[in-house]
Amino acid sequence: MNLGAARVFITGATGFIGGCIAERLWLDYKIPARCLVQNYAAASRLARLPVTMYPGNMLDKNSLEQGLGESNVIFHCAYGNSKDPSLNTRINEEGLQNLGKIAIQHGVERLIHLSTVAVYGPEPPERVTEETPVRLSEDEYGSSKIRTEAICHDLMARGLPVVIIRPTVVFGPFSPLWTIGAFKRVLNGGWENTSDIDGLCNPVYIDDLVKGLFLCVENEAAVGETFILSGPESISWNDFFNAYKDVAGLNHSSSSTGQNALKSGSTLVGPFLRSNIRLLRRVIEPQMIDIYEWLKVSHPAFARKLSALLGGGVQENEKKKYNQKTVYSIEKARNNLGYSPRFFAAGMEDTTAWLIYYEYVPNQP
Amino acid sequence: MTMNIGLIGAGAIAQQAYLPLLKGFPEIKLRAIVEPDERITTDLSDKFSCSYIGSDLEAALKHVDAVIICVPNFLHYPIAKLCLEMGKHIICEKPITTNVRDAEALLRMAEASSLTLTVAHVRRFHPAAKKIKEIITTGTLGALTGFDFREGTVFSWPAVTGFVFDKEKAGGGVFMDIGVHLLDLLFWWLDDEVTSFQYADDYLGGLEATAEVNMTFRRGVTGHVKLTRLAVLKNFYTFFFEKGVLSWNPFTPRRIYIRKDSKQTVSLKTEKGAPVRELLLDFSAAIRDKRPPFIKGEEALQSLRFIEACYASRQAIPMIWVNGVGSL
Repeated sequence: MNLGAARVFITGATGFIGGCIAERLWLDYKIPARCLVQNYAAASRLARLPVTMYPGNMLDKNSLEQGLGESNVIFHCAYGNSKDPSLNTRINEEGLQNLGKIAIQHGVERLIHLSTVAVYGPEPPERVTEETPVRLSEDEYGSSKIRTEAICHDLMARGLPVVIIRPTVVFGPFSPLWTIGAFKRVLNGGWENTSDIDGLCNPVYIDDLVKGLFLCVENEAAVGETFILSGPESISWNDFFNAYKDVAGLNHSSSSTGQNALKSGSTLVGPFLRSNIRLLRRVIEPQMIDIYEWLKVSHPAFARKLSALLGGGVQENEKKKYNQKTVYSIEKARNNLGYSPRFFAAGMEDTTAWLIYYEYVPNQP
Repeated sequence: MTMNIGLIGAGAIAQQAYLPLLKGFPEIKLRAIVEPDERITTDLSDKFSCSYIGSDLEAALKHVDAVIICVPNFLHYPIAKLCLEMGKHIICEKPITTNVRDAEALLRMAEASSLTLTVAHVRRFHPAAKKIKEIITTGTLGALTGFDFREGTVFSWPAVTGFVFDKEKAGGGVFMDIGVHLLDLLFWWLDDEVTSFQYADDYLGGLEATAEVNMTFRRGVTGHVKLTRLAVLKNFYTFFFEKGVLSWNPFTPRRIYIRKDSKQTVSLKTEKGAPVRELLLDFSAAIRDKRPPFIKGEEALQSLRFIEACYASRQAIPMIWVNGVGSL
């Protein structure tokens, strides 16, 4: 179908991916999307566009009905990210069933469902395609997405044209996890001690992912299919995080001294710690172990910061993840959709400009 | 003499800034609350013994001498107009109105009726803000040559209705919402006229979330302002003087940082201050003493005029991460 003539409804439009979909729809197609908004406080980015916001949520059928209106394309990005796992499950699964039912009633022509490569479980094989079996695990996010994919298949059987998308590591402007989070991590010394890390990262730039989603609307062959959308290359996790270190002006040849963390510390604490780090370690480390164990449970964010400042970095429980050598194939998307994402370095150029403009990078004018 | 006051709108700003103060305020007695949301009025009926709590503005106005207007921006004008017609003094939340024409009309009405109209640009009441004004005026650090103001947080105001993101109801984005505070301070501090400016924002057909403006003042001071709702910026207002640099963080307003003659920065701790309380006291005293309030309506109009001029000449900020947008 012709996306340019589509009427679009977005769930999760105040989020990272939903917000970018709304932005590209307006900038590239002049489509003012209809957007479901659960929390207005998160709507600043979205509100820059001439979109229409409908207050509501995935469990409120009336708000879905009102938000959908006369739309014939849905980008379903909403998912439960509250602290209540049972509520999240309801938002993901019952919410999708609500949306699907209304979409069928309204004759929606395309529902693009945002899933994840986490459906392959915490230990995926080295080469993953859309045919690789999914695996339920203790990871509730991945497992819930498996169940939502099953709901999608049920909706397809009932005649709704659904496309399932499994994005990989999505980075770029506004990415909370793989840009803002990753950048803060390197600033806080969270990517140190990485000599024993040699796993692979499969990054995809946000605009490329969104272009891939648009191709799924425009291409009839996409209907009923599942696509992995990643970038054109797999790079090492070290290269991924070191790219952010380059942006921050941090030296990534040293790996264990914690100096990078200190270099970027606050103006008041940093100089003190820099000049006293050896003394601090010798005096307080033995006594601090018990306190640190308690802090990890009671104040995890502070514990991570402390760990980084004292020479921490990649934690033991993260090493399995960052040593995986999984490559996610995008051959199906390339061949069936004409998907052609940019290389990591190109995406990082725009990401760097964004990080500098919004003053994430310390010591910029 | 105690002043009887009415609170018009009991949403987030009223509940956070005014209601806690009005509970035990000797100079001002809260007599009426007007709020369309029944859940809020029911809750407030248990906490405040007012002559009127409900949704009828005209009924409420019978019990008060003055009002605090805390409704969404687009309602400032019609509600303030009615209150002035009924002879009530006004504290209006910022911005005074969503456009210059309405603000001018209100000021004319207030003047013609000899009623006090002030706007809640409360940052001016911070002791540190007054100290900065003193430093600029007395020339303690030599003449002011320039400034660089950065203010940005990730927007998280508990907006229930979402009016802040409705173009018609809010009147503008971050430049109207936060910029109006910043400009009020800037114009008060400098006491000078802008002779030229360049404004840019990230407007894409809705409401800007990021805005920048370069300004030149008649006495030669030049400066730059950057505001955003999308990220945490450095959050310092920095002034460049002939003999030093002064910085102030509006979110930790007690401290002023001064670096004189390239020497080490010293921190000057001012009094804690209670800006909203000061606003209420000044308002009450202005009415009692028949003098202008500390924040005059005309001053609020000056900021609004500048914002309108900026919106009328907006360019795109250089968003090179958004293909095709921004060429500055």
